[in-house]
Amino acid sequence: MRVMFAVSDYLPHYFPMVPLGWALQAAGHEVRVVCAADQVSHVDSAGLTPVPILEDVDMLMWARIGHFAAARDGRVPADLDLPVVNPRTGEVLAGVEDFDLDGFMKTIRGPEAAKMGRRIDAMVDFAQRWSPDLVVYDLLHLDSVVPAKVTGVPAVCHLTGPVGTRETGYGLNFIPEHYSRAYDKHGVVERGTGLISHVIDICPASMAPPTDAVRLPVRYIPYNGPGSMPAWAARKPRRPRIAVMWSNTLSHLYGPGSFAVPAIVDALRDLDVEVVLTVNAEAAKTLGPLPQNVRLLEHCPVHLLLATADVLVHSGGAGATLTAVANGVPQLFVTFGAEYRANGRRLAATGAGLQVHGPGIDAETIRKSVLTLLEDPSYRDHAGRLRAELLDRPSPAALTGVLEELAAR
Amino acid sequence: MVSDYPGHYFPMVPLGWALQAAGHEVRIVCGPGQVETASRTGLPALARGTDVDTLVQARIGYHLEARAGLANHPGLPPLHPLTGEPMARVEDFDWPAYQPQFVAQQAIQGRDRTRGIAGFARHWRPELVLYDLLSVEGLVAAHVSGARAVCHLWGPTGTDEAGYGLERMRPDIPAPVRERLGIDPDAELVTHVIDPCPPEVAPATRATRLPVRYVPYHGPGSAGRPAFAAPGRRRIVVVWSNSLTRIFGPASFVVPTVLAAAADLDVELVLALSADDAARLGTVPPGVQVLRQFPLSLLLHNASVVVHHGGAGCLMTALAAGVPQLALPFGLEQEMIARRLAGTGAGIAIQGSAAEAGNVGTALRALLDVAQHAHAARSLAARNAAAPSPAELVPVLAGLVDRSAHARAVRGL
Repeated sequence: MRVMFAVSDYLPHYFPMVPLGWALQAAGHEVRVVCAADQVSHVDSAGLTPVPILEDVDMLMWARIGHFAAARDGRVPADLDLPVVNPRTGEVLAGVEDFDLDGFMKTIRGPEAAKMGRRIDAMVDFAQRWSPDLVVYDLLHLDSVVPAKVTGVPAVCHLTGPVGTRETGYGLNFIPEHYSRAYDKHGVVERGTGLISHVIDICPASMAPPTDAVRLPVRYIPYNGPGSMPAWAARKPRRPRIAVMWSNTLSHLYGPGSFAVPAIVDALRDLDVEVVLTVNAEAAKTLGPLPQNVRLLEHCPVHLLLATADVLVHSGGAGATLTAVANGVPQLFVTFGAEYRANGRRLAATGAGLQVHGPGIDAETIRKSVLTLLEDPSYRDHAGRLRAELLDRPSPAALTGVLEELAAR
Repeated sequence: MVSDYPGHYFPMVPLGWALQAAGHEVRIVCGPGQVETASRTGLPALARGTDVDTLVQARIGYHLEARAGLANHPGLPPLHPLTGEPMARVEDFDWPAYQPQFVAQQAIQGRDRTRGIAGFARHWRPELVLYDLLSVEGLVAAHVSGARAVCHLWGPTGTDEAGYGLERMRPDIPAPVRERLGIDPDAELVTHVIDPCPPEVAPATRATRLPVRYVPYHGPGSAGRPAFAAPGRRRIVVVWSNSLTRIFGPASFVVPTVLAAAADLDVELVLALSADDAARLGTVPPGVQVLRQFPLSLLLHNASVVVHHGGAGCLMTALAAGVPQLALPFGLEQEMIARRLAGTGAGIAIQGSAAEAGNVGTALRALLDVAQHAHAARSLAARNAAAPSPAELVPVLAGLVDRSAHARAVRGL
């Protein structure tokens, strides 16, 4: 069968789809990943074939617009403690008075709406020519249902982690409020969650994302991008190993104050542990000279490292969360923003980790949390149980049969 | 465990996806020079040992043949084995003076590679080692970790091919290394091969054959706008090796001959070439499309004929797509597999150095117009599609893993 993946311009949201792409290709199906030009290298380095027919969307800008509008309208929960940033530049602002959102929207709304329409047209055009049997899309790319509806094939939403399609909390609802006119043009009248008939759910059952759609369970298989690992990182050190992973996105959304790695390094410098930072060189440069127990590891997919790690400290992205689950590693979430906090709370509720509030975080809180995770065996036990739950789910290879049946209906 | 040439390990990648998608862990172990490419396939790659310059090795092999008076293409000027530059005479390279250095270098590379891979295998303890015809260190890795070793063929070249220059491709562990590792000098180490070929082009092997469907994969960089427009005219796709001119010299670039041969035919020509070869070609007649590094499998869905140099990747991709092929081989292995394909009727083989506008034109007309060729090509493609997919091979491989041998070896580590 022919399977059209259609993905957003935000790789953390579509990387969890990659193993399903492998499974389909390895079963002899054809997969094409319809994407924007700036995603090509990410898609093709994953072993999948990109079809770069979409115009780029500045996802960070749109996230900042959403956050700014909510702050201006008083909808951001105070306990998130997030600064207001300029939607255009990402610079931290003193207050919502310092940016004219309505004026800015006037300048971009027309061109952006036209672009979204052209993206949908391009997907419809591709689907009409290539005739896929199935469309799979990530939650940030709901527009992908349009080509599926036009060509009369099922569309399946591939979730990214514990955040589902029936979310009420602030910042967790990824179902758009506004829809392109291209929906009407292509005869799609439905709006909202009703557009999502099936979701592929990659989480262990105790972290099940809320959804009204038909749930297709699958096991999360870690894929964190291309890369390799030096021999030292493959060996388990004498001391406990603490892996640290940090999102590249956060400081673009919430300003430089959301880069908590300096506090994490400071918290761990005097402990008898080996700290492995998997941050990029640019981020590492801002850290200055590193303590002797801290090593930098670049271009290494984090799942390779976690085989030898005792704790993962991270910013709360779904990829890091589930990669740690897949390795049975207890995790400490230092979170900024609603989605990351929700991931952390949902994981912490299983007993496999802890979540702490990022804004204003101090080294002592981090140190205590890491020591708790190292010293209290219940966290590793729960992480092991969660891993077993994940392994109980069907593999992507097994899911291909389910998708074949769905497409054949 | 893979050798230093992407064309040798890309055919294994879909099986790697299948294994990962079924929940297994996979590592590609390769020379440092391959890590960048190998790790951009969806499979993690780890560097062990030192790089082997496969181009120099290939040129030395052909240089020795020329010295022995056995040159396959006596009309082509010889190349300097180290620089790749054309030379006036074979004797212009002082092989007797270079030989000791080459032999010593080979020994060091072999030792580094074997040590590196064995060290990794002792640490990571694989249950299964897949290797290609030129990465025999995989046999050592399997031995030290108690893993099952399975040779993954890249096309119709087997582990037991007869004929000049082909028998040396047989994977084996040399006697001194066997002795050091305590392996029975007579033990047959090549027990299983994964064979992506339909029986009509079956590679020669004495090992147990595990059939698998060939799933084309052309490596990272496989992006492209889809070429949908169904041509009113028939389409001939020409794809050429990136490395051929560096092994056989600029005279081996016979794409201009193909263009000349096709000039009188009412066909659309699409060339998929490396940047170097595209530059070598210069301006092309109007209507001829030149694509850079375009993935072949995406071009073939409405092609009538494919022309290539006999590389296994091109041949197998065209086979899987059911398109008749014209192979113009220079290398010994390419010549062997091109003849094997031609034996099925799905293609025609003309030795590359014998290609002229006349015989190439005749071959193209036959492939376009004689229905038997298209019929044979479609029948091979149907055979391929009916073979077990890489996903279906996974349980077969799992069944081969000898858990007790693995447990014994792990205990002994």
